[in-house]
Amino acid sequence: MQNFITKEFSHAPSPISSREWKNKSEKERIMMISEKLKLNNLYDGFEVMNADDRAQIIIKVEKVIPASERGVLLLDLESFLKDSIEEAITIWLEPVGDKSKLRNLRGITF
Amino acid sequence: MQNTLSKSEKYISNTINTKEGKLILDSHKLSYHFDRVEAWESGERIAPISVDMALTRACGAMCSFCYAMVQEPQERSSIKVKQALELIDDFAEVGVKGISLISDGESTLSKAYVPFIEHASNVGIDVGNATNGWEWEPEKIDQVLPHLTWVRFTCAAGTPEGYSKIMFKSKDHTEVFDRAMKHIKYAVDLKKKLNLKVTLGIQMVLMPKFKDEIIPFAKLAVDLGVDYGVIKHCSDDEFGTLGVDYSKYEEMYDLLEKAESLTNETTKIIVKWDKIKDKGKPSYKRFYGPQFLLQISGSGLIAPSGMFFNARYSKLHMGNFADERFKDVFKSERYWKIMNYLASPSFDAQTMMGTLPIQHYVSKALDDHIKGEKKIVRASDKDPLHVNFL
Repeated sequence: MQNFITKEFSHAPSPISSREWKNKSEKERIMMISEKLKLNNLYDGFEVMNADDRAQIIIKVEKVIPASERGVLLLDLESFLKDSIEEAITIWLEPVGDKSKLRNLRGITF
Repeated sequence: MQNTLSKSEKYISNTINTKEGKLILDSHKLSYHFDRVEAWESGERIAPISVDMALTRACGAMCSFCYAMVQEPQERSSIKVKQALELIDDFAEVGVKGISLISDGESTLSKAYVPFIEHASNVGIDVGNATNGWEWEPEKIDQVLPHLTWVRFTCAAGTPEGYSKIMFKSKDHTEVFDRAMKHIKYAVDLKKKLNLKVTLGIQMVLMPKFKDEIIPFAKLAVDLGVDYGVIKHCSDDEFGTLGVDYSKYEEMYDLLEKAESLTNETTKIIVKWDKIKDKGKPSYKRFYGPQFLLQISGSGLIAPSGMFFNARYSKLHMGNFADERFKDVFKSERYWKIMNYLASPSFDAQTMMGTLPIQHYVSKALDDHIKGEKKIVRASDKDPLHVNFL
């Protein structure tokens, strides 16, 4: 496998969301993605929480996926959604807050 | 020896001359690892030169600037001594040259801390350590200091009250300041006594609201007799969770220059101007740096950067060395799939990650190199201090 270290990638803009995507309501976008998730039981327990105008998708995952598996699983999912729905789609999981009781006294929240 | 570079030359080279050699804190050292740069450029799967990591996510401090607050992954594996030592073996096998114990926890609290450092030293890997120094007591210092390349003490302020307010519960809890100073002084004395090569420094992570501590911090570094006192920006995530206002740094330039002027023969006061002047936005879109400087969480999680430790960035999680050997992760397709994702248009470093990561200098240099804007060239001079810490 080659590294992607060409000039073109260094300069290349990241895809931006299409007018078609932006014209849909968030509810419609979530429904579209949810339908795609149902096609593969690997994504059982995945719930789409947000799908904003910029195609940033937040997914909640109930099950525990080992660190060795979740990276590729999610990158493949993102690639699948880019190909089938919208090129600008970028997926993220719900963030986890700091578990330090001491630091939590600072009141930083997500 | 005085710093012989003029101010303008210093800003170009970002090199500080010290009694013990050249110190580069506000730049990168890729020129001194040019073979690996060439291998990378030709498409080879290279091993990182440096790994930044922690042996635990635990920490007894509550620093208001702490990026670990936004780095919580799904799991917190407890790292066992055996796993930590195997990690060193794997680093040696693949070609890692330097390990910095910084990342997202206070490694001095781990049972693996002393054996980890000793083992790394035995197999020829350099180790540096950033610590608050609170639990870094004389017995521990005696054991590890001869094996360390550098120790950098997190020191948020120069006054006991300011320090305790920023790093602990309130300005009244100055016992943590006293404890840290006692341990730093012990290390400074031990270094002199044993004529150790280790570099000792203190670091202020500057948030604009604490600007009154800049000069006291510089004076403290000089008083302690450490080799340097460094002042750097504060990182924040892409959502501004920590509330860092980058527009305010410019107002502090005069104060920062005044702090630098306190430099003397023993102690250099260094400001990381390059990062501060970037104001939180990188020039690069692709993120090549992690291929040379990888990060591992104190939870055992292996991810390209600490910016991606949080569960939010799970698609960039490569594995956990508490579950499987590092060398197997490094050799896996998933490791390279994730690295290549960061180098592809799907990833935009300007919008999809926090500000100024530990890989910033390296990433900028590699990006400039590929674009032809500023080529990395093979170094022809003597290695600087800490050459294996990019």
